[in-house]
Amino acid sequence: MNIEQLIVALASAAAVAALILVAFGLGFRAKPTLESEDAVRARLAEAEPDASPSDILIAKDGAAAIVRLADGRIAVLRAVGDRFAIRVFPRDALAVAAVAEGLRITFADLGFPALKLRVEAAPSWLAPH
Amino acid sequence: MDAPAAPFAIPDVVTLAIPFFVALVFAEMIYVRVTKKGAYDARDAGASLMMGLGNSIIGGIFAAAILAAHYAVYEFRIFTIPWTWWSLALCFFAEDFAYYWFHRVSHERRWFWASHVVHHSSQHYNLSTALRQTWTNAIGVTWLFWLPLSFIGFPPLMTIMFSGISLVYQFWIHTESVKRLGPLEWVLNTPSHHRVHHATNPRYLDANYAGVLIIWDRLFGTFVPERDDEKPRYGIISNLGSFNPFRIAFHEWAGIWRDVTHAKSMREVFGYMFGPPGWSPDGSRKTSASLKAAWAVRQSAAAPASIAAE
Repeated sequence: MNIEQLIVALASAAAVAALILVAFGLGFRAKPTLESEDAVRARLAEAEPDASPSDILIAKDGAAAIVRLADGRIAVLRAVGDRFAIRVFPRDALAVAAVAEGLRITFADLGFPALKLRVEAAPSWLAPH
Repeated sequence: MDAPAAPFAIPDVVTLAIPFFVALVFAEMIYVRVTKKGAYDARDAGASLMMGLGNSIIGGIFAAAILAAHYAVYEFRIFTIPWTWWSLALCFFAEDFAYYWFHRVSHERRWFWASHVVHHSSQHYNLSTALRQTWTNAIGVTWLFWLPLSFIGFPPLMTIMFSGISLVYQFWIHTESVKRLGPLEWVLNTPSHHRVHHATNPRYLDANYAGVLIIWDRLFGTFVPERDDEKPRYGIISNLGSFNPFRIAFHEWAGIWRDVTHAKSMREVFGYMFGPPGWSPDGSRKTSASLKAAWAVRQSAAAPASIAAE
């Protein structure tokens, strides 16, 4: 990398930082929540039209929900910025552990990091194991 | 023999365009804030911009090696094409044709998708999304698709210049602020055509691979028009749960590694690496083809009901 490239990289980094600050300053930081089971069903139906929800667990802060589908698979809805990322996993692809204030769920996918779910208690179908 | 000398100083169009990229992203943010048309999320835009910055730095590191590969192939060229008006016109079309196939294969084969998925991993569609670029072009060998142009005999710098122009052109089409462009929609890749390309709606999957000219999609049967009655849903089939640039850059490569190390045969290894994204030995995962098939079934199941209702 020559000096000219270094200057371009540093100027670009400064511009990136400035644009991020502008984006926050303009208020582009909405946090969507899942208020009810109907809301969970609606979002799931849009992303996974063939999924048939059986049981629904919504986090206390509404930032995520776990759904047991009729075929035994698990759907995960989590807020990512102002959108939700929705994935369906086989039950055995999730590792569930009890932690303070809820559950920690890990997935075998680098693009879908562990999720801390604030819940009162884990339902039997999502029991830590 | 050396390549014919360019009759002018070849500009680094991408670097020259950076101030305009920054100004236009800023202007679009203001426009979205004021008009409420389109959408931004600060964390999403931040991740996209970080990916763009990383792409530019990593691209700079590997640029010399990729140029050397072009010159190595150029040694075996069929023709020696000079720098003239007709060769520039021809190279523009040839580069755009190469881009179409690079882009199409990048969606249809997982090895290449592992790099390209980065660009599609935002659930937003705005000018910052245009800058959400891969960090792994070099190891993904996506640059191979342009080597045939050097083999034909286009001067490597001519090809690279048009590649840069194409990249700059494609920046502005990543917006929801421009609807349709009249007769230009027949020839050019436009915001409308490219919104379809970024959509995950089954109707829109695997369509509109164009760089500058949409003619290649029309020619090879991959063109799908945007419909007013079906708004595109942006992102990927398995949307990411993170804005961490390293997760964005490497998640699909990690997925390939995980699958290949658990494969039970060479057929499975090959399928996981070079099959369509979502390929699995038992067909249990979702591919574009399976999503389109399931959608077609739902459509045909819904059709008799709507006819009866009429």
